[in-house]
Amino acid sequence: MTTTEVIKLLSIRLKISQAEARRCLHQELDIIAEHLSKDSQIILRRFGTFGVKEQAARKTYLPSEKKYYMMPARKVAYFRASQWLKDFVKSWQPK
Amino acid sequence: MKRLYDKALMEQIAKVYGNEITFLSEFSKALLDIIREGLIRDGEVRLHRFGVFKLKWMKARNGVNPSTGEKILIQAMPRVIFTPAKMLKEMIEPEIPALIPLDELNQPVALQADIDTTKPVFADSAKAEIKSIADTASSVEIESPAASETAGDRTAAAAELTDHLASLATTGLANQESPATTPTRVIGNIQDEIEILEQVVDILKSDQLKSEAEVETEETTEQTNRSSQWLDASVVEKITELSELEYFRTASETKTDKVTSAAETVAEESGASAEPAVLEATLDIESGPATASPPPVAGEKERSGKTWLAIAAAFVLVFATVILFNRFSGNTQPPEQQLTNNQPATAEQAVQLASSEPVVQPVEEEIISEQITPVEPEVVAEAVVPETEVTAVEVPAEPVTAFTESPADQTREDVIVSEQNYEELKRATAEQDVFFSEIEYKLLNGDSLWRLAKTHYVNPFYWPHIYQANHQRILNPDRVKIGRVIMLPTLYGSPEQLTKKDKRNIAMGYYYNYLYHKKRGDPHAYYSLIGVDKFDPDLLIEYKEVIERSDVDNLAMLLE
Repeated sequence: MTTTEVIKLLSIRLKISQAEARRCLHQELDIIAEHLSKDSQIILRRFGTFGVKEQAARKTYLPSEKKYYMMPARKVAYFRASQWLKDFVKSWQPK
Repeated sequence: MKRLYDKALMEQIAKVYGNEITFLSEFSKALLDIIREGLIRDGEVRLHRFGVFKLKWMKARNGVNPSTGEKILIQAMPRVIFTPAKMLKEMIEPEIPALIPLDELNQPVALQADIDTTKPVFADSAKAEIKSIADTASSVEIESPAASETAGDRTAAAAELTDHLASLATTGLANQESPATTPTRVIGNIQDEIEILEQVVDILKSDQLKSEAEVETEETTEQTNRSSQWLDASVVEKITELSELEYFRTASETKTDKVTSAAETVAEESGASAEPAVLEATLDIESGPATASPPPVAGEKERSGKTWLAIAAAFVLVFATVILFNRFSGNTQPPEQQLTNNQPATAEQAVQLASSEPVVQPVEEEIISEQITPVEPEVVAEAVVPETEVTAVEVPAEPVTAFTESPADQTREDVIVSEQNYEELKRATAEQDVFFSEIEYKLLNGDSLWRLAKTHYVNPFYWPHIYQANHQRILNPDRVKIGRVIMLPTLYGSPEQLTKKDKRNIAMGYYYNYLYHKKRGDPHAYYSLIGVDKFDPDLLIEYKEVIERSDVDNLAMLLE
């Protein structure tokens, strides 16, 4: 499923135009991203938790260069699914 | 660290963009619903400039309960994975730190590790040297008039080789002194190399003029030496052998003739089982002349040309035998495939027969048709149809196998809609790539699919879209039962502009309707094929094995 499909479904269900659905979608996602950049945690009911964690420095190997590199520590966004979502998804099976 | 819950997030959005909180909460609820449905339907949801939600199947594994230390089995389950988009990464870490190269680790691996390995390091270097010398020799030979220069080069090369030999011998001795640590294979290979090099030196010293053919023969002798593994042969023996080689060489031409005759007989026999043994035999014969071809005497160009021809003929024979062997080994497989391909054809024929026979059903059938077909027939259908078959043919097999079952079998099982097979149905529909909407509808008095489509999709002719999503629950689309709960699927596009997927779904609904009426023995069943032709004509071609030929002809007549 892609963004365009999400927008179409939103417009059908909420009976709003697709342009409005697109605008609202971007608003919500932008606010979430903005708060993530401030290191805050966002907890959505029946969905999961968005947050930021610190990734330690590590050693990497670039096969294109055939050399080892040191990747410095950095912040990374994470998502942790809630128990409700885990249960919801249990019926899914890989094709 | 600040924590934001649903409500606080909505307040923030309202604060920034000035929307109503009630609408925003409704919106976010719908959004999360759609993401969850998308995860189950496609397995992934891509949100532009935000990230990708994906489902990953985690296998069952052994684990330990951290509080009690008890060993437990963690069951297999899907896991939701979120990979942030580039924009989100950049927002969180505006200046992505650059990679720092590690010089300590980039140094090459120590030489000791190479020496300790079982494979000999010297083999490659020695081969390379031999080749380089051979190249120089061949290049010089083209400039044949300058004979004195070639002689000088030869002596220089010989001196280099002797130096190299001395170093090799010392290393070999060092290895021999400590046989417990080094494997015997290494010693054997090193000795082989030494022998070859010695041979080369002898030949270089003895014969000043050489042809290119000799280089080839040397390489072949190298291979044969390895195969025969002369581990304890002294240098004197080799010299005697070299002198003996002249005798073999005279016999080589006669032997090659034998080889050709043998290969021709092989080609005539054309027995797949006899091939491998004959191959080995030919290879053995070929190794004979290869070893036997000695350094040619100066000035004998005709003979060298003949040896060339012999080698070329041997290679061609090997290729021919290999190709023949491949062909015969390849021929053994197709019959099995044909057998497997025959099965679906028979199954389809059976299906065709079943669909073409107008089944006269009792009055009870009305009630039974209202009930849901059990999920088990699906499994049976999948088992019958092999995996090698095209997926397009699998789809028609499902409903027809459900129809072919006699009503008595259905009454025995008495499967009615319950919560358990509701979940199974949900999964089945998700597999068929039908959009599974959460919108449920309980049928009331006076409801029909036509009327529902009119209220839900504006156009009543889209009623097969509902029937397609619920064809396992509603067997008779003309008479739906009051109180039955059905799903109302949403359109991908709008009612004015249908997408390709919508058209296909609606056409599938018409197709199922055709199958139903055909099963009832309705002579006017082909009327529903008009809908198939209108929305997705490709289906007519796709299911041409199920749809009767006469019906297609009738449809063509009708459309004219």
